[in-house]
Amino acid sequence: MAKKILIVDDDKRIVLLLASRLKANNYEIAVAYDALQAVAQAFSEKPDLILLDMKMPAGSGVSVMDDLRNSTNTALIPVIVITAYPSIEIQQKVKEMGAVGFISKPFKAEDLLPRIRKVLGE
Amino acid sequence: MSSMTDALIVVNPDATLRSVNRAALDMLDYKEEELIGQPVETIILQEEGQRLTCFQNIFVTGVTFNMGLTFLTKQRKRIPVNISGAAIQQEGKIIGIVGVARDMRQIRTSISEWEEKKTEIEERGKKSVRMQRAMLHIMGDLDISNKEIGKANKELQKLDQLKSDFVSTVSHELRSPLTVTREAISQVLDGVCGEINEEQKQFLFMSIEGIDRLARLIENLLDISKIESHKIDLKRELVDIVSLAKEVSSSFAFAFQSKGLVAKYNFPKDKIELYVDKDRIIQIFVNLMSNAVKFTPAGYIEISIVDKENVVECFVSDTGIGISDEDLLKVFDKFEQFGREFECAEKGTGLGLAISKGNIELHRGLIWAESKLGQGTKISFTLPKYSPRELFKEYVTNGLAKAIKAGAPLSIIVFEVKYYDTLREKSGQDKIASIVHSLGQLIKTDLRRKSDISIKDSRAILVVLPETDKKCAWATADRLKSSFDDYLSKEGLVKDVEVDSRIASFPEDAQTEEELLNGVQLQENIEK
Repeated sequence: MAKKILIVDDDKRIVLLLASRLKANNYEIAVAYDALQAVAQAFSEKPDLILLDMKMPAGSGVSVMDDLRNSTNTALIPVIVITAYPSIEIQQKVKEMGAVGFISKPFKAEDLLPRIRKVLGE
Repeated sequence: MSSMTDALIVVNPDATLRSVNRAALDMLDYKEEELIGQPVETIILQEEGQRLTCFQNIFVTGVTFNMGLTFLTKQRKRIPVNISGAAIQQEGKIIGIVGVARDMRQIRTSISEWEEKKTEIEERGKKSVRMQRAMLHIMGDLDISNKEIGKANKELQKLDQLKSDFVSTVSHELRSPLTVTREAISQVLDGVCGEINEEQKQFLFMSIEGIDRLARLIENLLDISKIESHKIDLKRELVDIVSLAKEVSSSFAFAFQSKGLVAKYNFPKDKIELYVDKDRIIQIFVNLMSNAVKFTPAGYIEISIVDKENVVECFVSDTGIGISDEDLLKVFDKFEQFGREFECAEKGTGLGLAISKGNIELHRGLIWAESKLGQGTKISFTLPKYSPRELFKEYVTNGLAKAIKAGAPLSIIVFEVKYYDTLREKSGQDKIASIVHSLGQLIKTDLRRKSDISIKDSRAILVVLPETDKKCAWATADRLKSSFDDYLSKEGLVKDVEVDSRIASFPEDAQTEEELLNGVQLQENIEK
């Protein structure tokens, strides 16, 4: 069965492109465009992995991670952070919160895909 | 008596002159023989005869006197004098009077001079009061200018901050459209949206390369703006510079090989641990090596590390096109690019060496370039070596700064091998070092949080525990000590080795870095 990945980014073009790339690599896709949708989608879709942007409306990547960690339904979903603001502080912060990966924009598919496979144990 | 500058006369009891000195003769314009034996009235104005009586009276009373008289010169010129005198006694009998006369003309002149001077001084005083007032005005003006300069300075700082913020914001904001562009082109290129022909592929590949170069430029701009606004936080840790340089070199092996360049490595056998930000140092090596490859059409590239007393000196040299003397002066400036006429596949951003310099300076090192046009370039840099003692201090300083910022407690524990000197004589330094190493490993496995760190020298281990108060620190120390005991008894060392532990906590018993270090007696005990 195909693994499901939740893409969270307020930039619809990036969501579209990531979805296209991941579908081409045989993943199932769920999407969210802000922090609240992200948490809702994580609950309802139960994805195997979340690709999470940091800066977005109705919260932030950090608040999403907080919400996910506080619920047993979503606490164990691995998160890879994809951000245009890759500061050391944010990197440390999300690492402490349990993010399994940290990728800065602009990302390259040849870096992103192996990371995803590794996290999903493929 | 003859050398005195004041006139001196000696008078006999019969009121005749017994002797006079040179100054008196000069003043009165007589020769000595013209005066000796003459009555004193010869040289003292008659009108003052009344006083002369008093003068004679001294012979009876013997008291000293001090009075104003008028001397008469040979030419009958009057000289006002002030005369001080005393009776000369022999066996209770007065045998003469000695008098010292001071020419009052000089003093009067002096007085009048003094009065002139006084007026002058008063004038000057008035002037100076005027000047003082003027100065006050000037000072006032200066104060205003100073404030204005301060204001201008603040404005400039604000502008500088604005510039940095602008660069930072723009750089970040550029990332999103760049991501979209790159990924869209990349998917078409990868055939995600269907087959494309060779020419299309080639063109798309060129645009991906352009985007990647733009991305690098943005990274570098961000870096330089962070360096210039001192916003860089070095993530320092102990890093073996030798293996780091080896790693970077091996990642360049293919690039060297494909250009037919020979790589010469000059690395020390032993590792050299430096307290640096690993990523930043990698960035410097990558930078220097890619420059070397880029500007060297043939020959060799040498990478060298030399362990010196207080620093480690590294260099990357090549047999490339070199840099002219004129350009060499600007080599570390921003946006300076050289050897442009030289064909190279990848164009630089003109920021690499400026960033390298900034990075080296953040590490308190030096960087410099030597080059000869047509012969090659050598870029060298140094990184300081910290003694374990300085490192301990650095860790405590950093830990404390974070604790104060976060308003959280901080504890430090020092474990030290007791009776170190005796033990060293008995078992040898290597043995102790290996014991300390094992204890260090035990600590590392035991520490539960990422933020807890430990660092050791030959005899002591420092453990820094953020967000830990004294009570919890003791619990940690006890836990660690019992794991030490297990290890020591397993190794049969319990009788020989004893480990002492000391704790200091912020803010409970220490407020400053010094107090923390004193609290664990680090000052005296840790050798350099």
